Amino acid sequence: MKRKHKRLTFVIVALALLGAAVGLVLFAFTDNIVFFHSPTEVNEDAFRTDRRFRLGGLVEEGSVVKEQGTVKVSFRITDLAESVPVTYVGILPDLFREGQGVVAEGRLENGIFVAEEVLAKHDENYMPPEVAESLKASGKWDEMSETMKKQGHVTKGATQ
Amino acid sequence: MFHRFANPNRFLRLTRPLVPWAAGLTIVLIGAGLYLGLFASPADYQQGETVRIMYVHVPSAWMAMFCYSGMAIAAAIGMIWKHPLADLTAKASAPVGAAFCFLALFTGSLWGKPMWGTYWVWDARLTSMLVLFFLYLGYMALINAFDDPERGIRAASILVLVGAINVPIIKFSVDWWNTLHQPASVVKMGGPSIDPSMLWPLLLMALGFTTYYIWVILVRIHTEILDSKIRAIRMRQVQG
Amino acid sequence: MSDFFSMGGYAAFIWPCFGVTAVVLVALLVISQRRLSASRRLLDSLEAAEGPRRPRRAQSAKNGETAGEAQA
Repeated sequence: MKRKHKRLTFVIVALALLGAAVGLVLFAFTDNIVFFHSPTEVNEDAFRTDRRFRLGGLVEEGSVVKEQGTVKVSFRITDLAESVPVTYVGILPDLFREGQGVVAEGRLENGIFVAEEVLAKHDENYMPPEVAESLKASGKWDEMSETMKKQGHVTKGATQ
Repeated sequence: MFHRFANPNRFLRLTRPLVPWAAGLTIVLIGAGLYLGLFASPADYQQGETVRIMYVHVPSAWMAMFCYSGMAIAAAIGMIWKHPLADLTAKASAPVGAAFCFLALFTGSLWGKPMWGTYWVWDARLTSMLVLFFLYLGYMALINAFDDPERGIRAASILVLVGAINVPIIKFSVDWWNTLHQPASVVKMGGPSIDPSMLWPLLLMALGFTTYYIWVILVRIHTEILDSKIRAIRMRQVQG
Repeated sequence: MSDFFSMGGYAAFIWPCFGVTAVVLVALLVISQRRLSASRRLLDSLEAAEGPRRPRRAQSAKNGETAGEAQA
């Protein structure tokens, strides 16, 4: 009986210590685990701009300009507070559109983010097109995105 | 020696009648889930038809995490209370969980390409799920790496318990860090953000995967119990 | 019908997901079931060979578990 308790205590203590250790490590490496940076972070003075990084946010409404006859495109990535201009040469994913979440990888050159890869990011809402239409028509769509903004989902790619 | 088999025998007697029930439920639930998921549910307003991948991707990912949690609990019981049935359960679970984990990664990859524009990214959610897959593989390698099965189970149990920390990391990775993967849609504050027409096939498939898990896990535990009896008989023969 | 199979142009992504899931789950089930049958056969033959010490040998040849229970 006593040995059983000893083993139980050992397992619990070991797991608690391990959990604390992993928590500390993850906390310390938060910056490296972050998959992308927001336009607000990028526009801060302290942001190092000489390295390759990922920029994430929403494609600003009305900012997408496609060059005729080429696959060159320019747009702005916004977190609804700040925005960063982006250029990209290549095929865009099917979900890429204005107001849609996006993550671009590349470098800042003279204040313009030159993307080498553009990935689309979608939100966690699933519904048929008709439901989306009626939500938009009744004005509930804006309500929904308002709550999501408050919950801080915007930088995580919530739609408009 | 015999008293160690007393409980496994009762377990066999009690759970054998469950197998046909689990099998029947699995077929009905997955059949209904497939019908709703492939024929009777709409396309998504953003993702179009690819949303149907959700009906196999999400249940696989849930089961991969559920199965690992079960393994960790069984390994802890086996380690602390030396319950032979718990060790057998953990051992029987590993290949099932690994299969679910592989399916979650594979279907996620085929979903990511058309929607995100890539088969794979090293974001926190995808990476922690890959770590889970390696934990399963590591467990299966470790449990067979020792001549003495007791030591193999001991070492593998420690690995499972250490790796259990990964399960909450997978679940909350999308909330704690910026990831390409979207946050949770079903298990979250404020209720699911999935239209009922898509939630039903998802839940039916998830239930069907759960009964499938029960079905296979019972078959595998029964096999482990018979194998330990075989080992005991061989032992007696060697000792004369 | 061909509309259904083309899945809005995403057939190459959607059908492999369902196909591979079906193959993996069915294969795991078949392998597990076969191992169980093999172990049951082996146990039955071992118990039959141990014969003289087993009081309910005739039954054990048919059903390994019941015989095991008698031992316990």
